[in-house]
Formats: sequence, structure tokens, C-alpha cells
Amino acid sequence: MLFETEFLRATLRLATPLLLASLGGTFMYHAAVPNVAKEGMMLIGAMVSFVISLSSGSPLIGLAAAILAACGFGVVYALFVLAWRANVYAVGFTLNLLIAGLIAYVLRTFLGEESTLVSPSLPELPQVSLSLLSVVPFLDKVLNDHSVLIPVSFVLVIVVGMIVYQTPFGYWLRAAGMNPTALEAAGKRSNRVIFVSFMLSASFCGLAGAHLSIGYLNLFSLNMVAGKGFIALAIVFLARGRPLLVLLASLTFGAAEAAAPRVPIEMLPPQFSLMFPYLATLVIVTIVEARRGGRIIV
Amino acid sequence: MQLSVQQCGDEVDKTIDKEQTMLSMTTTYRAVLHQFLRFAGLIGLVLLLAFSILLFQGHSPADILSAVYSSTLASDFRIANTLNRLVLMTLVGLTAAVPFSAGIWNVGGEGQITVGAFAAALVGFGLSGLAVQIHVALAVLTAMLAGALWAAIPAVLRLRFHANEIVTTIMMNYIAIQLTDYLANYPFRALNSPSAETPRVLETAQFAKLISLSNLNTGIFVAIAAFIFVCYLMRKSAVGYEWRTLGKNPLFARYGGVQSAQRQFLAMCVGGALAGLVGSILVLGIQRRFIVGIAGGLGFTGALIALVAVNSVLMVLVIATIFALIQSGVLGMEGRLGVAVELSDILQSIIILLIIVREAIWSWFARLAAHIRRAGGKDLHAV
Repeated sequence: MLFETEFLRATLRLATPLLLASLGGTFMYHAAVPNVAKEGMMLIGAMVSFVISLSSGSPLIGLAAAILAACGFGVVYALFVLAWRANVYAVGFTLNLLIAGLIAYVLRTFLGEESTLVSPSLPELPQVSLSLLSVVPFLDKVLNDHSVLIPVSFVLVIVVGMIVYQTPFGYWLRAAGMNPTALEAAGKRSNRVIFVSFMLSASFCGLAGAHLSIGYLNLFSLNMVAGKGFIALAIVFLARGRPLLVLLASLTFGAAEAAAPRVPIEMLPPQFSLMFPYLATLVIVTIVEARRGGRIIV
Repeated sequence: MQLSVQQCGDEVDKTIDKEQTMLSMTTTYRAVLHQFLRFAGLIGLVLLLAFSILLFQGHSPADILSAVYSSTLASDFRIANTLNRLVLMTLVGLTAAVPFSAGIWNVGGEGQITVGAFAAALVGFGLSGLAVQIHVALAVLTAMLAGALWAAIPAVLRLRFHANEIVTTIMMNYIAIQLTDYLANYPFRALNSPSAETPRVLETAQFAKLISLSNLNTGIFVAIAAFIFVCYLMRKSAVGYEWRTLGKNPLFARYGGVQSAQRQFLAMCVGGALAGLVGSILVLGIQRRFIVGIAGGLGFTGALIALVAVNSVLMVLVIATIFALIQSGVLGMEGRLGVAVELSDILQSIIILLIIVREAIWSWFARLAAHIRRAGGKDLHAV
């Protein structure tokens, strides 16, 4: 089962939103402010990208709008946390509920739908293939003809790693997380650096949401994020903000999500396969944190 | 001495703080009144926002006000429903507030309520031939135990294995919802039932309705008793003191000999038990059976309340009252005007966000006022 091409394709598809959201989260992790509002940012990205792609006819405009909308809430989040010194967990948690309420309200009041948006004329994100890969039939089947955000997210793993560990900005960012006073002494405004990390994180969450709605499902539903934002938060904690570990963890959770529905229904009722990703998160987080023994390693 | 605007603002803040401290020392009631007016102003601001959104959507002000009034306080029946909501909301607020006060997060109220509700239903229809009081008590206790157990799992994972409790309690929510969904769909599904629900609980295991057709039932006496007990626990007992110390300064608490892991574990279990109690009231008093999705977001609202009422039982009560009125009002508007019920989620979150940063907002206002005063003064000099 492990090497079935369909299973591997599903793993990539399902890992991508987790990967994007947690890659964005690594910026904020390094600035020592975990992004707890990923759930809401993904939801707004999913909704906005669907509506805007449909009305403008271009999925790329939808993508841009998703990023903008998520950044809008990122600004609010940053305002509360940085300017008003509010607790990052408290504000993030409340923002999730606020966004969920807002989206449901807009959907029911202005779009006249109960909980789902579907449209046959929705323009999908383009699919991409690499002709180099089609030389090997197996790789061709697994890696080609994916929605564009999937390969992009894999490239972003490297980009994020470079930004965090190789550029001056990444250096400032990690300094802002470890010792903001030192950064201020060196002449950088730590709040500005952290603000940029909020924006980057929000943009990535917007992309992750867009992948859910216009990337492969081609519909929007109110409960489509269903805890993925919190799984992404767990991934960032697990990986301690290292992009390669983030990739590894995302693929693991993607595989967990892809594997569960493949078990025949007589052996496992659907509720258990829906439960599986959350159970896997619980178990993996516990095992990894227990082995780490509660030490915080930056 | 030259001061930047920022520094001037800080100076003003300091003076205001000093004035407030003096005020509270001399005339406490004026300080309380001051706080109350600010708080009321904040709530009023949010309600005004809601009102203008609804006006913008084309509802007439008279319709809005009459719908809100008639669904919250117009008759015994409505008051009873609002009161019931208020009591449940207070309990779910405490569900998260007790662990918060001990410095551990519990955002798993939703799952704990669900599990508690299912346990109550199981005892309610599964056991027969018991006396009324015993059956009800048994069902309630089982529900509280189930809720406490469901909270104990993430507590152990946090305290023994260092797993982040925000992540684990949220995961436990999803697990609880799917697990009970399965149980209500397959092994314990009521015969010939069109939807996923358990059989009705027996007469002996029901809380009687206090006002016919309303949701208010004798379960609220249990709830009030639990509320008083938790008040005592948090404010007057040694355990409550240790919780507060842990929440405010864990190092100091440990230095003072508090068994931190034990106490935080206890706080989580108390929170979970309260959630289980809420679940049992939902089943035994209102729905009379377990239905899928019975918690309906109540657990998240509880966490929201607790965010701004960590160490104050009174604050939990105040916010629960406001939320109960908002929910009843919005529900009435949904029935009469077709307003989407999610409006209450929006208003509640905005209220909480504003309360979280109220100090910053007030000092910003104070700074603005000082700025305007200064600018005014300059103009006078110029003249």
C-alpha cells in the first residue's frame, strides 16, 4: 500500500496545506511568537480565494486576494500582540473564533449558502509537470500533474531555510526571538522584524487555505480546515522551526490523513479514519516531546 | 526638557495611574464606578457595531429591538431560556478558567462536554429500576468523571511528557466528537431513528423542567451548587491559593513548596468535571438523549470567557450574562429577521478582544486627550 501511486499522490496533496501553514509558522516561531491563528487565516484564505477566483475568473488573482485577506488579519494579530502587548495565545485563539464566525456570517447573509460553496465554473489553479521527471514512469505518476502550489511549497522549504538561516533578515529574526534587547542595541527595531514575520506567516496560511479550496477540492466548506491550523502549530513545535524537519513532519501527517480512508469501511468505520490524523498528532507530539524531555532547544 | 510625544504619553499614563491609585485608596466606590462605566462603554460600543451592521443590511431599528427584547426578556419562557444559557455559560467559563488560573490551558471544553454528555446518556438509558435521585446522581457523577478523565489525558501528556496542552486539548476535541459520533451511529443508536442519536434517557434520570417548554430545568440547582463550590475552591481554599500562585509565578510557587504538577493536574480534572456536568445537564435536562454535535461550540465559548476572567469568578459571571443575552437576542433575530446566528460568535470574540487590550485602549484615549489638550493650549498661546 505504501508505494501505491494514488496513496503517494494523496499524501503530497494533503501534506501541502500543512507544509505551507507550518513553513509560515517557522518565521514566527523563530521570533518566539507562535502563530495560533493559523486555523482562522487558512479558513479566510480558502474562502476568499474561492470567491475571488470565481468572480474574477483568474485563480492567480484569487491567490493574491487570499494572501491579502490573511495578511489583513495578520496585521490585526500583530497590532494586538506587538503594539498592545496582549498574550499571543489568547489573541490567536479569539481570532480563530472571530474569523470562523465572520466567514459563516458572510456565507449565510451575503452569499445565501448554508455551509458550502460549489461552482462548476470555478477556475482551478494550473497543474504543472516537469518533463525531466517523465523519464521515470513511477516518478512521473507520483510527482507530475499536480496543482501548482504543491511543487511551489516544496521549493519554499528551501527558500524559507535560506531566509531564516542565511540572510540578514533571518539573523535579525532569530535575534528578535532570543534577545530583542540585543537586537535593539544593534540598531534594529525588533517589533518591525517580528511584524514582518507576522505578515510572512499570514501569507503562507493564506496560500495554504487557497490550496484547500481552489487547489484540489474545488469547493469551499465551513469546516474544511478542521484543525489543520493546530496540526500545523504542532508541526512547528515538533520541528523546532527547522524547515527540513517541518517538511518531514508535514509528510508524515499528510500520510496519516491519506492512509486512513484507504482502510476498507468494514474494518474501520469512517469516524475512526476521520479521527486518525488527530490521534496521530497527539501521539507523535507526545512521543517527540517526551524524548526531548521538556528541554527547549532553539 | 524636551520630551517626544511617546514619552509625554507615558508621563500622562503615569500621572493617570497615580491618580487612579489614590482614588481607589480614598474612595473605592468611585473607582469601581469608573471601571464599570468603562466596561459598559466597551460593551455598548460592540452592540452599537452590531446594530449598525444590521441597519446596513436593511433591517429597521424597531424590528431589531423588538426581536431582541422579545427573545431575551419578554416572557417567563424567554427569561427561563436566557437564564439557562447563563448558567451553562458560567460553568463552561469555569471549565477553562480553573485550569487557566493554575497556569495550564484547557481549550478542550468542547470534547469534555461531548464525552460527559455521552456518559450521562449511557447511564440514563442503560440502567433501569433505580430511584429517581439515585439514577440522576449516578448519571451526573459518571458524566463528571468522564469529563475529568478526558481532561486528565492532555494534563498527563503535558505534565509528564511535556506535550503542549493547547495542541493536545484541541486534538482531544476532535477525537471526542468523532468517537461519540461513531458510538451514537453504531453501537448505541436508537432503533428506527432517522438521525444519529441514542435512545431517550429514562424518566428516572431526567432533570424536571422548571418552566414548561423552556430549557430551564432542575439541573441548574446542581450547576449553582457546583459554581459555589468552585468559588470556594478558587477564592478561599489552600488549593485555590496554590493555583493562583502557580498561574502568576510558577517559580515562586515551587519555591514555596507547591506540588506544581499535582495541583495543575487537579485543576484540569476539576475543569473537565465541570464540562462533564454541563454535558449531563444538556442531556438529562434539555435534549433528553445524546445527539451528535450536542456541545455546539459551547466549550469554545467557555475558553473565550476564561481568557479575560482568569482569576475572577465574578468576571466569569458578568461575561456569561452578557454572552447569554447576546445569544438569546441573536437567536430571536434569526427566527424573526433571518439574521445568521453566527453574529453572536462575532460579537463575543470582538468583546473578548477589546477586553484583552482594554488597558491599551484606555491609555491610547488618555494620550489622545492629552495631545488634544496640549494642542489646544498651544493655540491659546498663539492667540
